[in-house]
Amino acid sequence: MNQLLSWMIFLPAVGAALILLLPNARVAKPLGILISAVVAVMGVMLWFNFDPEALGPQFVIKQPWLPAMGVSFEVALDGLNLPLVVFTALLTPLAFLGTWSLPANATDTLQKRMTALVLLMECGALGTFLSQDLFLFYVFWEVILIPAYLLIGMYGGADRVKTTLQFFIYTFAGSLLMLVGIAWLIYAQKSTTGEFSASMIELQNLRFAFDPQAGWGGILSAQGLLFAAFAAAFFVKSPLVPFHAWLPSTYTQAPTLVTIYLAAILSKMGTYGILKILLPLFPDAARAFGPTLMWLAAIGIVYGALLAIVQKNLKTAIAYSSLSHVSYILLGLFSLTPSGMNGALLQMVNHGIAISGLFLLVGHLEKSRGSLELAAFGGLAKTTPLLATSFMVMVLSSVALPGTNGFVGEFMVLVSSFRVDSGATILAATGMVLGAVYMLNLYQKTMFGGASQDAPAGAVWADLSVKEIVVMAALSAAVVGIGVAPQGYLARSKVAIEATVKHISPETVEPDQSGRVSNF
Amino acid sequence: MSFAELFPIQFLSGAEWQAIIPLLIMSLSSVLALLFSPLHDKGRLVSFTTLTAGSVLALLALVFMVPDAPVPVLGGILIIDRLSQIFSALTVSAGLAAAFMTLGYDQREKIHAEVYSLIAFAVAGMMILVSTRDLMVLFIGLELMSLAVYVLVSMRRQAAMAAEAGLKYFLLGGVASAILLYGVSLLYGSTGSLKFDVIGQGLSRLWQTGTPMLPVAGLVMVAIGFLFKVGAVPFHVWIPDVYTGASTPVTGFMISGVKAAAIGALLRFSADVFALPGLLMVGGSFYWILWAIIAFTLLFGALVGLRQSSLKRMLAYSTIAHTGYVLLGFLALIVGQKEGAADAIVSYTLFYVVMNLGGFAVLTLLSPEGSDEPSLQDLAGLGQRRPYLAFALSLFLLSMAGIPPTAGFFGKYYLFMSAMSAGELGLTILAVLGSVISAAFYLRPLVYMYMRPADETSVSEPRWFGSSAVVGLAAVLTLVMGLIPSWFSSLMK
Repeated sequence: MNQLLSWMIFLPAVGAALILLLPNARVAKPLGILISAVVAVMGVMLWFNFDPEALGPQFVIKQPWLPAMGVSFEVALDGLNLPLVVFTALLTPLAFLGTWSLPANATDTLQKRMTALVLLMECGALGTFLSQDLFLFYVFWEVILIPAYLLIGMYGGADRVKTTLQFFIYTFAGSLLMLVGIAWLIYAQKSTTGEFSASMIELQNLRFAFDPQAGWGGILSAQGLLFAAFAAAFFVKSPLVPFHAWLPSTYTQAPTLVTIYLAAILSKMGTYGILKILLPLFPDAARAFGPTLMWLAAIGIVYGALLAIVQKNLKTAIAYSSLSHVSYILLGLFSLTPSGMNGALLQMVNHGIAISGLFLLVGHLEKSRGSLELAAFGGLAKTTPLLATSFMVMVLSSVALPGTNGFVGEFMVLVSSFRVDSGATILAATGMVLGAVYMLNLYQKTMFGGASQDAPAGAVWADLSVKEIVVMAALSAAVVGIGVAPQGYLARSKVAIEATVKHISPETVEPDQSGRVSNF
Repeated sequence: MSFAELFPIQFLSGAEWQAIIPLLIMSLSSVLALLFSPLHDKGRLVSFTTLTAGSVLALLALVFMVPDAPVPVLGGILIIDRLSQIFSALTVSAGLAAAFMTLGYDQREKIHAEVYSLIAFAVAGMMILVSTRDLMVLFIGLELMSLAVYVLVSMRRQAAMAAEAGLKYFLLGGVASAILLYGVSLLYGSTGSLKFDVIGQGLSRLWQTGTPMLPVAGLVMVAIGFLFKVGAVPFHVWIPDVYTGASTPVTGFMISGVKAAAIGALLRFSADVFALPGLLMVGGSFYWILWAIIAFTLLFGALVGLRQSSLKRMLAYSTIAHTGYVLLGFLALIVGQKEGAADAIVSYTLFYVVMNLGGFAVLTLLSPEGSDEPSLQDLAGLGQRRPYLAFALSLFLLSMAGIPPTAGFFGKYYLFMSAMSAGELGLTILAVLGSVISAAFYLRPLVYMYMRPADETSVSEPRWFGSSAVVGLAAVLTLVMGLIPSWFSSLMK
């Protein structure tokens, strides 16, 4: 068990190198699935071996890496990263399987490269989630950028080059500011304790000057500047409105497999960074800016929903819906309450499940129709019942119907944010209504009614293949499973979340209330 | 009058002999290579072999005969210590790489066999430059290096650009040398010495009594000489034309070797003179002038690089931006972060040399016959055509952009760290801005290599052994340095 985390991180990278060197391209994808399936098995083992009651990181591996700078290869599992690690490990083979035959013009090298690059992304994502060392976190955070860039640029839609450059520049700018922040923190650690260290836990003990009375002027204090530097990276990746400009075109232009990865996992790197690093390391700034950020999140919910309503392209509409749903996560995080943050953490995985399912189905439609204009669809419920059913499950999870996982998460977020800021929560709750509008609208336009006039005569709509059925069944099971019995899930993060909240605002922890809600 | 009084030759001790063996080897092989080069038919091969053998021997000597304590040679004309060994090894490696890159290329472009001896002369000059703490010897080293490089630049006789570049570099370089020399004379006049440390002590004494104009003017002039060689704005005007006009292997040599030598010499001089506690106070505006130079260097290189369509020109501008990063380290050094900043500068120079040599070796392989200037368009489809070459170029570009896990990332991080520890938040943010802008142009070649189909007309690139070997080695080093940087840092301790 001891080296399991290292294996999880590096097995995909080794596999990627192996696949690139393979002479036979046909085995690339099966091998990719095999490797990611092995990683998934490890993830499941971690889930069941994790001790929910224990405080502090588990399965710790710590090896010096840059001793002169206090940087080490420090990875561990805790209540905050466990759900995301397991989710990433499980989703990767499913995403491969679900996009098995995509894209249609796949050549041999393409299959090889795409599989290898996605495995590299998995390595980057798992490394980011598992890192307990801030510097290591940054390295993995950046590692994922290049495969994402190449995948979109090589295999994306018509506008891919411009899109991929925009995506890169946005995220790179944010990341570099974070790097400056990291350099600052490590140096501050040295001047405070005399020892360099980049360990997140040790850095949490640093206190930087911050004047809570100064309002937005507080951003110019040491802690405010650090907060801003890290926020730049995390808000762009999540994204929080107004740092989202790269998102719609990137999600739309990327090939399905990559869109799934971007929406389900990369965006979670941002929200996870907020939970794990931004808020605990800069608690005063977090308390001071939290309310404003809640409003930005609420605006993001409504803004994304409104834009999703008016889209004519199915994929763009879902991209905007993703923006709206990620904003719920942010709302929960910035509420700085135990149940809000636990709900947000749950919502990170929920959103990942629903958005993967939706983009998979969109990918299927794109493949069989060659277009994603809403006008080109209609009446699919008759011709492709399996597709329609699984689409329905994902839509219901998205609109947070009770009994689905989305309901649990959004409810926890809204209840706790309401206690903190009722205004922002009411605004956010209108987003739920709007969400139902665009989701059901999309569903109605594609699945019901007569066949589209635009569809070529005699067009054959393929229903889900066996592989796609397997994937959609797994995702649907997760939707219902978490929706009906979230306790096992929430219990694993409870201790870590409460410790985090206690660290951020020691005086506001209310054990009875938080206990009640998070045992929902 | 005895012989010894007439000709006061100092005899070297055993330790001194040992310390200067690498320099002697390089000097000897440069002369031998020159003598061999006119040999009919075989000249090219023999002088190449002489240079390679000499470089390898010198490298071995540098690596295995590291003195425990600094060895002053001839009363401190040369100082052989850890720093001089590291920078000498860097410049010898750059010369070696340049020789390998020239292999094959020189025959196609009809370059004389003397190119190898000139490289050796330049390397010998660089070794003197980085191992001295005496301004006059520094000047000699500088000129030995520069004169050889002037000729190297204009050696590609087929191209009109090369002659123009050589002339431009010669004239401007001459002016810069003259300014430096004038500065040296002013420093000598006001402190009575040419030795760095004595000058430093003299200046400290002078500043206690006020602000003497003479030594300050001298310092400014010496600084201008250095800034010219490292290519900081506004002393960068020669860079684009000279780097583009020179043949690609020579450009690679200049960008890595000449710059590393200049940085090494500047590091020595800064540690003794520029980093004097009083200097920043003198005149008050010294700090801000340096600040502005760094800020403009950082942004200028990035912004102008963005507009280039020739790869060589793009990398030429990108080196200006890299100069900005290095100067960031120097600012930290001058402000008082001696240890961290010096380490950061040395590490960055090492990483910088490796990735640029690799990059220019790729460019050599890509350079079309006649024009020698591959455009972005020439890269189209390279990812399909030559996957390994394309991968290596991507690696070098990502390293220059500072993306982990490559060497360049750590270089940049160390410099950011030293700047932060000196309290230079503003400049660090500017450096970030510059990095983001330059990322846009470092990524453009990737767009062409992987995202555009090849032209019908594109010809296949030559497969010269020498350049390919440099590419391979540099690629491996770039990755390994990115994965275990502490190993390389510990080498330098």
